[in-house]
Amino acid sequence: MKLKFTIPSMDFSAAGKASTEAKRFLSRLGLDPGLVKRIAIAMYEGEMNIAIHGGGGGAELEISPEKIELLFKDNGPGIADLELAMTEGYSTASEEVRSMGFGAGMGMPNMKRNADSMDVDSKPGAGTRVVLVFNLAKAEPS
Amino acid sequence: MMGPQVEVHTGAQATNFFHSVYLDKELCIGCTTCVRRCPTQAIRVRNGKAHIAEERCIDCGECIRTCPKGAKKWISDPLAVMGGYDIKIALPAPSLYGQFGADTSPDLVFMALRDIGFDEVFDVAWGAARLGMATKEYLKEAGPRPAISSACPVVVRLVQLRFPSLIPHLVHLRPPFEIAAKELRQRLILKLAEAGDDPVAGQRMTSAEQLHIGVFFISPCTSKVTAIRNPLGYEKTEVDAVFSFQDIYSPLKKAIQKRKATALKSYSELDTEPMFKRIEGLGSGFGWARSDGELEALNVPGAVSVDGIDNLIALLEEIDNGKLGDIPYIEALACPGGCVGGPMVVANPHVARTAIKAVSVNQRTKQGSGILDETTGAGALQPGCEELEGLGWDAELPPKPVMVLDRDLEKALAMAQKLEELTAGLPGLDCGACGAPDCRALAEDIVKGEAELDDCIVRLRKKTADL
Repeated sequence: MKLKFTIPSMDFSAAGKASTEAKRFLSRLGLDPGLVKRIAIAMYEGEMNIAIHGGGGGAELEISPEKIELLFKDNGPGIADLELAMTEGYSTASEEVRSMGFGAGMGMPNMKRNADSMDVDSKPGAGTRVVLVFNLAKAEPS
Repeated sequence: MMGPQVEVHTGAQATNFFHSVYLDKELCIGCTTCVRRCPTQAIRVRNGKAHIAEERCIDCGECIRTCPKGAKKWISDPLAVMGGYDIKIALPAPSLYGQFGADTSPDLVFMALRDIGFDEVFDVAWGAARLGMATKEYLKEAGPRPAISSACPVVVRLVQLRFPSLIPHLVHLRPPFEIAAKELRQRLILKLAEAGDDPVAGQRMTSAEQLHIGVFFISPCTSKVTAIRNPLGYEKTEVDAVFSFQDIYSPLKKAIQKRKATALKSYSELDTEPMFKRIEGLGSGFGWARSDGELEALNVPGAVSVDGIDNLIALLEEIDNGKLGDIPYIEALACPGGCVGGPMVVANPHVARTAIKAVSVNQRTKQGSGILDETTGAGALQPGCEELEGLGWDAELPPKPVMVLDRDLEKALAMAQKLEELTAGLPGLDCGACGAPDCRALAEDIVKGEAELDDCIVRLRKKTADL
């Protein structure tokens, strides 16, 4: 089953909306609270990246009995140096965005840390696509 | 520890769940006001009357506050249970001292409590002050941040139900009333042993262990009535019964007026010597009656205070998204303004807030920072009071996955899918006319077989028009 979210560009009042909705949905499934939290954190970071850097885009949460796949897609400028983007504290966010408390350069590292696997597909000018996988193998319904 | 019980009627007692909050069916007109205010979506209107899903209710009292017909009520213990005990101890919540206006001193309330039948009074403010010291110590140890105060039982239940991943963030220490009750029992046993040497008092005290000691918590809030029946994080309560401010208000007020009419203004002039003289200087403990008071006592730089159930949920949501990790501590209170805004209070919460502020400032300046127990002359909160020994939780606090559709993941997934489809087909007005708080909740009820699509009046009307 798949859930789709639209993420608007630079709309900080909507920040965390997709993450909250996803969390509410996942709480219906009896998944391990720790796993739900990991997904919510990754979702929030992805959501913010798309809002800040991606010029808006979308997210898809696909749930099967084996795994949860989280896909982010935007039509932004793309990531020039992926290794740099994955470095903690590195950010290309504008001064304005930073002044609002965002753009600390933890988004991508946080996504990677919370997911079981992360795959980034991005080229300058071609947008960014991120796939995160969370395994359900060990997560018994509580 | 539960003493003799006076039979109280509550629908909730028919099941395994005890709840202080209940519905008076006679008064309910099925208006759905409470349905939409309930923070755990525990209420539905069916056949014109509200129903509370007991496994979801956290006894916050939000529905009591909002019901326009007064149909949402609470059960607390009747004052008559006191009759079953040999020694009766009042354990007033700090917020009690804000109920009678700024011109009523804590001493007057203290004496009036004895006048209405309590043998002794021991302040929950003592427990709060002790918890404050212990929390500072607790925060020195590593743990998930922000640490979230567990003094408010609604917060603990809300986390258990809606934010289970935040359970490790809760401060694993007992609430002020339990800490006070435990201390009181220990001190009482010592006093009784001392009195055993007294030829007069000794008569009464010969068999201390046979004496039935009743500890009665006087509380502003419904969640604490529930908390002594179902303790959260610890096995056993030290409290025998919980009285509401509203039940005790009238007799206490009369006794206060009587005291005011006499010249006697201080307990030191009392004819019968109390065992526990008022513990002065507990200013920081009295502050816990209102929001910000806990933070003032703790004085942890960067700590944040939140009050009111909606504000609380918004903040917990952010923490649950992995944010706010740089905040060391959250003072979390479900009622607006803190305990002075509890569902069982009498005085206007804003007025009580000012009154209690004056009390905590007076109490603090009286003895400076030295907190003295006059009976012994020794510090009531001595070195060692910051120790966590005996204050910690001793029971697991499991998550309560009441929102789960089915224990089997595949079944739950199928139901969740259906839920999403149904939600998409509903008008999305969240009008509540079906008796559920919003369209999604109706979809959930349909999936669980507890409601029908035709319960949606907006959709039904359109369907009829199309015919």
